[in-house]
Amino acid sequence: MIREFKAAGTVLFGKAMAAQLVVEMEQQNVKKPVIIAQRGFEGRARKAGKLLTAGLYHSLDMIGEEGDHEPYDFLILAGGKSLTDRFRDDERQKAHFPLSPAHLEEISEPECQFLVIDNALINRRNIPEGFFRKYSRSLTGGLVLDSGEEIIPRTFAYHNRTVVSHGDSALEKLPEILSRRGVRKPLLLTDQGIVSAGLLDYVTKEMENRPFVLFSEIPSDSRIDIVNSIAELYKKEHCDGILAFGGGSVLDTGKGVWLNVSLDVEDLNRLAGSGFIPRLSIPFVAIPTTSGTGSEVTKVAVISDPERGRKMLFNSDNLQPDYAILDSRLTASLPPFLTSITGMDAMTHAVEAFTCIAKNPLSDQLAWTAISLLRDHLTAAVEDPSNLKHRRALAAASNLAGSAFSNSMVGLVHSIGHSVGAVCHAPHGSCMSVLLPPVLRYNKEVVKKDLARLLEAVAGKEVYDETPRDKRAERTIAELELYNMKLKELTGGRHPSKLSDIKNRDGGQLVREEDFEAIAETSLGDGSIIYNPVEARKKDILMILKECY
Amino acid sequence: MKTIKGTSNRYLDINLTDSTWSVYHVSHQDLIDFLGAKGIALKIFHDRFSRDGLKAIDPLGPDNLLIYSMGVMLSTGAPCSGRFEVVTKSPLTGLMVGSSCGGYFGEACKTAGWDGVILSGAAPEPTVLRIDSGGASFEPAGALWGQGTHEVQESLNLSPKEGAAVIGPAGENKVLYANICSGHRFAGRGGVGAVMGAKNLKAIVARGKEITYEPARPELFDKTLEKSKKYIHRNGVTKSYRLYGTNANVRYGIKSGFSPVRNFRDRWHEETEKTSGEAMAERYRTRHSACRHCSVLCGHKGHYPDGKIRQIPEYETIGMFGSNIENFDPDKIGIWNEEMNELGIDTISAGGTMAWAMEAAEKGIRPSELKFGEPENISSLLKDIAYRKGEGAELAEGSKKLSEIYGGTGFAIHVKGIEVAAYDPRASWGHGLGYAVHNKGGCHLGSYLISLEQLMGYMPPHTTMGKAQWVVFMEDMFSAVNSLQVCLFSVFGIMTEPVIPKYLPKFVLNIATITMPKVAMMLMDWSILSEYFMSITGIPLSKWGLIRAGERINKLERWLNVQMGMTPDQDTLPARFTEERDTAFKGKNTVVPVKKMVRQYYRLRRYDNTAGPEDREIEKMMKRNRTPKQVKPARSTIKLIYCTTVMAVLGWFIPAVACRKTSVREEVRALPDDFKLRFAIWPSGPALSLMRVGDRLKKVALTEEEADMTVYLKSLEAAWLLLTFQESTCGSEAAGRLMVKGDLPHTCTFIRLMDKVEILLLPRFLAKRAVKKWEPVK
Ligand code: SF4
Ligand SMILES: [Fe+2]
Repeated sequence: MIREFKAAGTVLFGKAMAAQLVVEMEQQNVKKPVIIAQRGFEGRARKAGKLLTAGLYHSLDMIGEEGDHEPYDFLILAGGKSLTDRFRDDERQKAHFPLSPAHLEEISEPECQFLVIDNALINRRNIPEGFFRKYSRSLTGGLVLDSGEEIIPRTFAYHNRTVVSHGDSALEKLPEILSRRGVRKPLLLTDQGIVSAGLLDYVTKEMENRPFVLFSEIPSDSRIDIVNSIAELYKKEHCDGILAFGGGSVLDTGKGVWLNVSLDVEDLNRLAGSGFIPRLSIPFVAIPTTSGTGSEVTKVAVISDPERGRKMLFNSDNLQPDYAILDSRLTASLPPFLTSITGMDAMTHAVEAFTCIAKNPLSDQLAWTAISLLRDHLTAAVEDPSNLKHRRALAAASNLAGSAFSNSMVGLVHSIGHSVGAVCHAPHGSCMSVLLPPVLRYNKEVVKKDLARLLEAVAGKEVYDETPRDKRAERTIAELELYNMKLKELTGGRHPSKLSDIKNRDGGQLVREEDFEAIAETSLGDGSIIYNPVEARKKDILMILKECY
Repeated sequence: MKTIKGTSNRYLDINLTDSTWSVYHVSHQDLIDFLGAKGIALKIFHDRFSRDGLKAIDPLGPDNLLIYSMGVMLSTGAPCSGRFEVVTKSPLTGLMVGSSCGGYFGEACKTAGWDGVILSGAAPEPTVLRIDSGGASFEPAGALWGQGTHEVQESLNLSPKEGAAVIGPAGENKVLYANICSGHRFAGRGGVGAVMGAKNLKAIVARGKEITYEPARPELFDKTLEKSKKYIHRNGVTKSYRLYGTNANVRYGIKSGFSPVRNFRDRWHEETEKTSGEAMAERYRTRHSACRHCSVLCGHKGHYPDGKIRQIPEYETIGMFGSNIENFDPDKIGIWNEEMNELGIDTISAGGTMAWAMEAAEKGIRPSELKFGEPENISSLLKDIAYRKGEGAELAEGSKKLSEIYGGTGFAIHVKGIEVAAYDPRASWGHGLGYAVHNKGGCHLGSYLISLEQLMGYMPPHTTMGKAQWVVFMEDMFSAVNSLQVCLFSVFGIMTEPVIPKYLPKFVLNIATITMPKVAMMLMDWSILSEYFMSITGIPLSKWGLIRAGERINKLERWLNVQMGMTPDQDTLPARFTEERDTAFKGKNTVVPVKKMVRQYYRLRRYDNTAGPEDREIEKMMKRNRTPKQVKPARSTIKLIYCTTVMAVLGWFIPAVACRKTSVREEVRALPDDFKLRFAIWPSGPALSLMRVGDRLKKVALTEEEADMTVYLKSLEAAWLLLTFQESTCGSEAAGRLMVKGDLPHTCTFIRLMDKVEILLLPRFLAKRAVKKWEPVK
C-alpha cells in the first residue's frame, strides 16, 4: 500500500498573522490579489482585508462571491467551506480566511495553500476543540496518533508544501508524479555510493520510456561549483524537472541546482538568508535513501563556497521539495548501527520539536506520532533489519519528525550536535543520541509539562500511568537513556551513550575534551540555539558536554 | 419535506423545441439588484439577447422567451402574496410585457422548488408540460387542444398539489391579446397567451407542496406580517374594494368623469350607475372569490338571474363592455366576461378593439357588424375573435393594427398597441402621463395615479405640477412590487395607512403632493415591503433601496423596449385625449397636456433622445456591486511613529550605551570585521544600520544591498508587537515574523544583542517578559 501525506500548505495562526500573508504573497510573485467575501460576511471580510492591508502599501480589491474574479492572480477567500468549495478547482493560489469559529469547524483538511486564522477574527479561546488534531490527521491519511490535549500558542506559523508518497514500493508512484507535473525529461541526481549499492535501478526502472539525464558524481559535500556545472547540464539538455536521489548532500546540491535553474541566478549568494526565495516553479522530487534526517521535507540548504571560504545557508519555506518518495526498499540494506543512530536522530527531532519554543499543535501531533512509531519499531528494526514493516514505520516516523521540526525547529541538542559534528567530524546521529538526555535535563525545569506528557509516547501508556505525576519528566529522560543503552547492546557497543563512545571506522575516539571550547563557541552561533526554550550560555554548554563525556 | 430558507433561486430552463431542460441559477447579486419575479425575468432577457437580438425576436416565433417568475413573497403566507409574473416580448406591442396573475400555478411551481420557468423554442406539436421538483416532462396535448380555460383545467384532473397555467382557444389561435389563465385568475394583458399558443403549449402543470419555505429572519417577518395585516384591514380603499370589488370605481367614474363612454368619446352617461359595484352587489348578492392568500378580497362572485353563479367582472371589464360600447346591462357583461375567460381573451383589449370598430363603422372608415348600443352579436363575435373567423379574424389584431390599415388612429384608444383601460385620463392628468410613458403601454397599473388624483383625492387632478415626479415614484414602486409580487391593491393600504397622510387635512395634502412631492412621499411608509424582502431573503434593503431597485427594473425594461424598436413618439396618448375637449361630462372638461408632462418625465428619468436611459447607465447598473470595492491600506500612523521612534532610540542607545558593556562587546566580537548589520521593517519601514568597528558597533546608513545581513520584521504589526515588548525577539522569530537577507548564522548574535539591549533599556519587570532569561548585563 502506498500512503500519501498531503501538503498542509501554510497555516498562519494568531496575532497580526494576517499582515504576514503579505510577505508570502510577495514571495509568490502575486501581482493582483483579491478578497472574495462570502455572502453575508462582507463586514468581517472587510475587517480581514484591513488586517491584511496593515502590511500593505496599496489598496486591495474586494468582491462578492459572484463577483468577477477573472482578472486576479491570488484569491483570498474570506468565509467558510461553502466558499472554498466554490473555488475548489480553481488553479490559482488561494488563501483562506475563516471569519468565525463556525467557519473553522467546517474545515477538516487543507483547502487552500494558505490558511490564516487571525486572532482579531477568531479568538484563540474560540478555536473549536480538537480542530488541529482533525486537521493534522487529514494530512497523513489518518496515520497521526492522538497526543491528547491540544496546546494552542498565541501565535504560530506552520508550513509544509511537500507531498509525500510512502510505502514498501512507493517509487511506483514516480511516473504518475512526473506525468502530473508534466515532466518529460527530468535530471536525475545521485552519488557513487548509491550507484555501487545498486539502488539506482529502483529509480531507472520507473522511468520506463521517459528520457532522463543522469548525474551521479555528487561529492559528499555540496559545493557551489558542482551546483553551477550541473545547472549548465540541466540547461544544455533542456530538462524540465529535478530528481534528487540520495542522502543529504545530494538533496542540498539538488536544491542549489533547483534555485539556480528556476531563478536563473549565477550568484546564489544574493539569495542567502531566510524568506527571500520566491516560489520555484520547476518540479523537484526528493527520494531519500537514508531514514532519520527528514531532509526530504526540510527547508534548508547548505552550499559551500570553497573559493570564498564560506558556507551559504538558505532557509525558506519554498525550499521544501514538491514531492518526496519514501520507498522502504531503499533503506532495507542500512546496517544496524546506521539504523540506530539515524533512528535516534529522528527521535531527537521529534522530542525537540515537542519542547522547543516554536512548537504548535500541528507539529505536536506529528512529533508525537513519530515518537510513538520509533518506540515500537526502532529497536525492532535494528534487530531485524530486512523486515520492511519496521523500515516503513521508521521512514514515516523520520518524515513526520522532519515535518514537525521544520516548523517548530530544533534546539540545543542540535546546536551542540552540529558543532560536535563540525569540530570533530562525528556522525550527526551519534551526537544526537548522546546529547539528547543531558540537554533535556538542562531544559527540564522550563519544559517540565511537555516532557512529562511525552512519557506516554516514549514509553507507552502503562508506564505513563504508573509513574507519579512529578516524576514523569525525569522518567522520560531516563527512558531515552535506556534506549541508548538498549541500542548500544544491540549494535555490539557501536551505538554511543557517551561522547567518548563516538569512534571512527578504525576505532579512534573522535571527540576530545580539548575540543569543548571550540564546540561551545560554535554552538552559540548555531541558528537552532534561538529556539531552545532555555537560554544557553557558553558555560552551560561546557557543563553539558562534560556531563556526557 | 425539504425546507428552503429564503428562495431557491432556481429557474427551470426549458427548451420546447427539443424537449430538454436545465437549471438556471439566479445569482445572489441579481436577487439584490432585481428583487425577483419581474426584475429577474427582465434581467434574463437582458442577459440572453444581444442588442440586435432583442430587436429581431419575433414575439410569436421560437426565439421569444416566455418567463413565469415567482418572486420572493410567494408561498410565504403574507397577505396578497399568491401571485406570479409572466414576462415576454408582447405580440401586441412588440415590446416587453409583464403580467401578474394570482392563480395557484405560482404556488405549486414554487413549492416544487422552482422560482421560475423559462420557456424557449416552440414545441413541434401541441404539448402539455408537467413540472415537479425533479424537473420537466412533456406530453402531447391531444384532445385538450381546443378546450376552454376552465374546461382544460377540469380535464387535466388536477390533484390538490397541482396548479396549472393554461390558454384557451384564443391563445391557440394567437389572438394578439390572448391571456393565460390559472384557476380563475388571469395574466391578462399584452398577449402573453398568444406567445404560449405560438409555442404550441396548451398547459403547464406544476406539482408542488414538495418544498416549504421559511424566511431567513423569521421574527422580522412575523412582525412585518402583523403590521401589514393591520394596515390593510383598516384601510379605507381596501374596505370599499372588499365590499364592491374594483367596481367601487364605477361611481367615482361617474362623479369625476373618468368613465369610458362610447369609445372614450363622452366621459359620462346617465345610465352608467346601473353597472356600479354597489348596484351589482345588490343585484347578484355577491360574495368573495379572490386570489389565494388575499386579505383585500377584491374578487367577487354572485348569483345571476339565469341561476348561474358567475365571477363578477372587474371594473375594467365593466367599463369596456358597459358604457364604452353603450351597454348598461350588467347581466350581459357578466356572461361575456365568462365567455371571454373561457376563450382566454383579455377583456380590456377586446372591449377597446370592438369600441374602435364601432366608431370606425359609424364614421364609415370600416364596415362592421358592431354598433354602439347593440350588444346582440357581441357574444358570437367574441367567439369569432378567438377562432379568428369572419370579422373576428381582423379584430384579433387589436385596434392599433386595424387603425393603421383603415385609418382612424385618432380614436384608436391604445398606447404602444395596448388598449387603454377604462379610466379616461382627461379626468386625471397624472394618470394620463402614466398611460403615455408606461413601458407596457396603455395599462392602468403602470403608476395608477388616478388612485391618488381621484379615488383617494390626495392630489388635484388637473395640473401638471408634480405629476412627473409622482409617476416616476409610483412606477418605481410598482416595478418593485411586481418583482416582489404582492398584489398592487394591497400596496395602497400599506402606503396610505400611516398616520400622517391619513389624518392630514385633504387640502393640505393636496398642496403638498404637487408642490413638495418628495416631502409628501416621505410621509408615506412602504417599509413593510422592503422589510418583507429583507426578512425573507436576509438581504438588507431599506424602503428607499426598494424604490431604487424599482427604478433599476423600470429602466432596464425601458432600455429593452428601446432596443426592441420603441421610439419617443410612442410615449403619448391617443389624439382623443389630447385634442377633444368637449364631452357629455358636466364637470371640468379638459385635454391632457401630455407633451409637457412627458418632457418633465424624461428629464427626471434622465432619458436621452432614444426615449430610454443611456447605454452607459445600463452598463453601470449591470456592473453595480460587480465592480470591486477597495480595502484601503490600514497602516496605523501611531504605530509607525512609535516604531520609528524606538528604532531611532536603539540607533543611539546601542552604540552609545550598550557597547560599553563587556558582555555586549563579546557578542560584537563574534561578528566578522566591518560587518554591516541592518534591522528594518519590511518592505520599506524605518531601518537601523550598524557596523562593527573594533569591538563596538557604530551607527551608519546602509541600503539593503550594502548590508551583510538585514533582519526584517515582516510587517509593521510585527514590529509593533516586538517593539512594544509584547513579544520577545525569540518569540517573533518562532512565530515566523523575522526574515533575514544575507548571512543567516549571525541572526543568533543579533537576537542575543537585542536581548541584552532590552535588559539594559527596560525596567526589570518588562524585560523579564521580553527575554528568556533575565540576568544583569555586565
Ligand atoms: S386584491 Fe384582488 S387582485 Fe389583489 S390579490 Fe386580492 S383578490 Fe387578487
Ligand atoms: Fe538532526
